Amino acid sequence: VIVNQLQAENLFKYRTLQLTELPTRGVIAISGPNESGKTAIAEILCLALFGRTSLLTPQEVTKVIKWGEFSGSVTLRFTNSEGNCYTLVRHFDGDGNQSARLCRSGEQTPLFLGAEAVTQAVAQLGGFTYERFIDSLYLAQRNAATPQALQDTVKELAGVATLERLSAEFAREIDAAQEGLATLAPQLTAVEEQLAQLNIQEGHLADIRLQRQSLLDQVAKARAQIAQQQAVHVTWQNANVQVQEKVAQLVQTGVDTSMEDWQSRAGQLREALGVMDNAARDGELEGVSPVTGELAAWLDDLHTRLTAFTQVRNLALSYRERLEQQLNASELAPVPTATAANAPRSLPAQQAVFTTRLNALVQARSRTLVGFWITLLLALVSGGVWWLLTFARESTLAAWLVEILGTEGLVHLPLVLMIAAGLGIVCILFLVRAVLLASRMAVIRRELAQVEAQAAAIRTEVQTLDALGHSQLPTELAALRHLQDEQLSAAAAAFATGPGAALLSGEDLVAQLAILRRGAAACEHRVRSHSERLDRQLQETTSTVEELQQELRRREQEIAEEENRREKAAALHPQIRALQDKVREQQRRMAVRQVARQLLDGMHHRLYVQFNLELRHVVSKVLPLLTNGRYQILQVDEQLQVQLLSSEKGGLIGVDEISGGTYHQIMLAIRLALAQALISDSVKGTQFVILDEPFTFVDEHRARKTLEVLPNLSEEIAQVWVTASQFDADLGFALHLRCAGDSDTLIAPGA
Amino acid sequence: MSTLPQPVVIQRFQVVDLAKEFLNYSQAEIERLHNTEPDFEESLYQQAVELVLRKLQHSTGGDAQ
Repeated sequence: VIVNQLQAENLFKYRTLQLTELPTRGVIAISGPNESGKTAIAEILCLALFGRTSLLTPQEVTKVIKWGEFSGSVTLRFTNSEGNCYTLVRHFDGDGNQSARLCRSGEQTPLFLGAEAVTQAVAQLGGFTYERFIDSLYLAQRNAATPQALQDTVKELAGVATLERLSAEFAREIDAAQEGLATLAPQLTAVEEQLAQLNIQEGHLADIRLQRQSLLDQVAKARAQIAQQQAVHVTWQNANVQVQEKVAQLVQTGVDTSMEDWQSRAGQLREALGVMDNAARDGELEGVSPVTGELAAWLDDLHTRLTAFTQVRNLALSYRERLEQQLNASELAPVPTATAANAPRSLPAQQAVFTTRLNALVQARSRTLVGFWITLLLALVSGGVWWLLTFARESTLAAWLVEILGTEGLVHLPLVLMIAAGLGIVCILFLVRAVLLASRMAVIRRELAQVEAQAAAIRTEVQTLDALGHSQLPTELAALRHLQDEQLSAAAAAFATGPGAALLSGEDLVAQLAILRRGAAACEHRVRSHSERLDRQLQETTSTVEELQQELRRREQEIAEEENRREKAAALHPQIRALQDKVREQQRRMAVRQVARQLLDGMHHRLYVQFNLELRHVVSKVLPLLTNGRYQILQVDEQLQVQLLSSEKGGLIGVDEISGGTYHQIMLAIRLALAQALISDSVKGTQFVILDEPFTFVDEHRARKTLEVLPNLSEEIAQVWVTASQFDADLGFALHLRCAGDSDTLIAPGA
Repeated sequence: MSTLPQPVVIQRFQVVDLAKEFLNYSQAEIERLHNTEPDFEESLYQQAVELVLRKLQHSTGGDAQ
């Protein structure tokens, strides 16, 4: 910032202060006696920039108004490092009110209005705050304290203050994070305690689910067992009813029962026993065999007897087949040959043979009788003729014959007689033959009658055998015993006296049926016993099912409770994770900031060292010029403790070992270095500095040397305001303002 | 004295680039810790460095305004 113009009204001692067209480079010297207003110009410049002075607090700003006046104002025109020109106007009144505006030079529209806003704008446009300005750019003699007093500015310029601010900010953030953790910790603990109270055990749910499944399987198995037991029970009862019914049917049998009835009833009882056996086997009933065993044994015995009769029947069937073969008509066809004449023939065949023979004999006898009657007639005729012609020639008939035969015919009367005799003989022969044939016919007729009688007898037996199938057993046996087959008859007799005796004898049969009744009664008794056992098993199984179902309900309840707990736990887990994430986030936030603070702390010394090295370097350039080469700064530590290398003493000395003037020169050199540092750091352009009474304790020679150095101090420190009671006239200042003690007006020469 | 007959006394006052200086320092520190501490968590330090640099950039930007 370069001051181009400074005007004031009613401020400090000045009613009017007009400093216009100020030189932008070089020394602006302000001289005058005490209380002539030299420092007031510097203070007015400070007041214009920041609304306050270095001597007065902001609350005392009313004291800047000229005594006896009610208000004052200052106008400052300056150019910043970017080359922009601004006009700043501040007004003050006796009530402590202050107004300000900042606008570009030549423009009426203010960029900023209000004292505070304008002050901030100055800091931004100029690159320095009030504090930095005071420490670096405004060196007032009365403010020339120890270097340590500049610690804050050094910190700022070295960057340490920035680091400290960051460190402090991180410390606050760490505290905030700790507070956050302090808030989160009980929340997390509370949620974790809720989770712990739920007592979630890994695998417990799976275990009780397995137990439930096992119980379900057991219940299903038990129910199936119940169903099976009930089915067995029903089947068992039904089978028992059937058995008792079949036994009752068998008990009703008698000696007159047919074979088919025995077999049928025995088969039905066997079937009923089979159903009972199967039911017992399905029901896994122990000791069932004795139940049906007696009846089965009785049936086996009956079966043995019936089998024996079956063998008799088989013989009867075989016999019938033979009879059938004898009656078989198929053997009628072939005519017996000579060689087969003696072979056994069936009765129809024999009947055919005999019939054929009889027919042949009848025909032969008929022919013989015809011959007989013919020869007999001829013999009678010829004999009659002979008799007539011999003994009754006078008869008519004889006459008639003579007439027919003639007399010559009578000669042959002996021949007629012989013919009559011959015919008589032939006739007799025919008669004999006829008698013989009749005899033979009678024989054949007898044989034929015998064959027919035999066939009729066989048919009768066949019919008898055919009728035996549904006959009463005794009737059948009697019929069989009376058949013509000896083997069959013997077998029937053996059966009747052997295995069949118990069936044919009333007493034996009663005894057998008594055994059957006892077996049935025992069976029924045991069935009842087993049924009771089945009932007990059924009740036990039902009871077991109820217990299993109760256990199942407990497991279901336990599963529901466990699932409920798990749902609650599942709802808590995200909360815990979220809280844990927040805790980790806060912890991470703290850790990062703690590390950042460590790094920032580590940077302090480094920055101090670097800044002090630079400061020492710059001061070492300036100080020899100000002290005529007698002192060089060699060391500036973090506390800005300064040690000097004295060319006279040949070593390092502390500032307490040097004179007051030299000390002020050192401070001037340091302040100039800090000004340069501030310019390099923030201003980044040309800048004015104010040196208020810098040579109070400095001898004239050093003051002169200093004033010679100031214009060439640096490219950036272009405008140097210097106040002193007087200056040598030949120093060639860019502007020399001379203040008068008795005047309240100062107008710069350029105005 | 209106002109500069002599070269200026102060050529410069080298003000450190705080962010750059901090980056150099922190990286050197990280490298040192990396070599000396087996359990060193570099990501934590890098995160801290990024945080500081971000703050510094924000601070510099604020100053520039």
